[in-house]
Amino acid sequence: MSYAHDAPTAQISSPVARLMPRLRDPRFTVGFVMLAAGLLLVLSDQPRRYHTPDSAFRVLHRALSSGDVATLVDDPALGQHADAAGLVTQLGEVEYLRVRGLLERAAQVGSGSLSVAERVVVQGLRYETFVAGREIFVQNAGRNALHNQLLAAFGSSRYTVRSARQLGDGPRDLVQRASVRARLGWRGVAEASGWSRVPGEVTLRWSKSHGRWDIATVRWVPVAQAPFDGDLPPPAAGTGEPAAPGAPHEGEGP
Amino acid sequence: MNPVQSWLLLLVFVALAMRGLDSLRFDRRDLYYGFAAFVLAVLQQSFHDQVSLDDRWFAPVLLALPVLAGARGGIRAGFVGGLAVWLVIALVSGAAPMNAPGDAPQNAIVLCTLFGAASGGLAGVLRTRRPLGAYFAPMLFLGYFGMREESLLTVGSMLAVPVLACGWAALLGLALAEVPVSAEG
Repeated sequence: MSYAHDAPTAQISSPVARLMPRLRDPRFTVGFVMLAAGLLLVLSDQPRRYHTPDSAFRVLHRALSSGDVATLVDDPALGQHADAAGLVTQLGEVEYLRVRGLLERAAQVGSGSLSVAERVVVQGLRYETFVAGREIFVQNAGRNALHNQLLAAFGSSRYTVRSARQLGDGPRDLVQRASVRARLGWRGVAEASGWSRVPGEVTLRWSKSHGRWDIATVRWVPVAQAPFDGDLPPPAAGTGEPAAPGAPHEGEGP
Repeated sequence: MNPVQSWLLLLVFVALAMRGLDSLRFDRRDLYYGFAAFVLAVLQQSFHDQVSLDDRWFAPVLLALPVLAGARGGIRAGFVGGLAVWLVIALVSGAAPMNAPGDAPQNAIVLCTLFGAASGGLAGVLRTRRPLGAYFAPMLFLGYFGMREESLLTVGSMLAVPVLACGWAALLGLALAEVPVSAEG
């Protein structure tokens, strides 16, 4: 039979006694300092400039409207590259979008056709850009939640940019109004397989790594009918001249 | 991963292996790290939809596991632990994290496995010479980031992943240690 008052003091204080040497261990210092440093790195990467999706959208919109992709990269309206990243970050409420790499690649492939698809890896997500001249589309084929946020920003938030000169035969003064409705599951790998130069509604198809197909719809309307500044209204029915279904596509995919 | 990088990696791998890999036998304890990686990868997939290095919660611990194996068990344990961890991640993920444009998923998995095993082996090498330095072996993954996408090296949140992994490796090493260093002296 044992009694509580018989218990040695060392047993009572043993958890503390075991803990103290570990707290004095250099590994604890290293671990603590490295975790703190990592946390600081994470926090320091937060964009600070653009506070509202609306204002960020306007800046992006103006930059896209005023120059080509290469200009956009150095556009004073966007400030530093980090701010450009913050811009799109705020747009989609997605952290750390590496828009710089995206834009640089866009500038490289900007002279190509509209069917160029580039991918940027951000936070484990994949962002596809579809580039022609100063026209940039960003699509997220990553996690569903963030993907939906980005779609909300670029789709239902009335993403509108001036059309690209690399549209070639197409009219220069088109405004693209992209209303993207794509249901891309996680780990989707997107490639644009269809495009159109004509105003109207066209369909993009993305192939996914697991074999399914997704549909996105892009509308084109004449520039005169689309506002550039301020809050952009949602696409109105009847704007532009819709192309007939099956309009000529460029780079038709499989 | 271009051929030059592949050969360089292979050289590093062989050099480390020749230095300390006396046998390829599997120790049951080494496989515990693989099991831990399995649990973490499943959790990460549950919470974040995919196994990814680009995550501040699970990825640092995943990077820390091979280093922990190396720091505790030596070079062989680090190698085997790193291989086990990343093979398990490949198994769970089904596709590699952080695919670079135009790269096949297999490239990322192979590269991650090599880096994981190398970081574990490096921790094993440093274990006796620089005991604390062993816990900085996750920084080796900066090379992986650079190979995959150079711009990742400018992203604070990406740099934070190996840094956090160092912290987790040190703290987990301390937690699993039977006798803290200061108590030995």
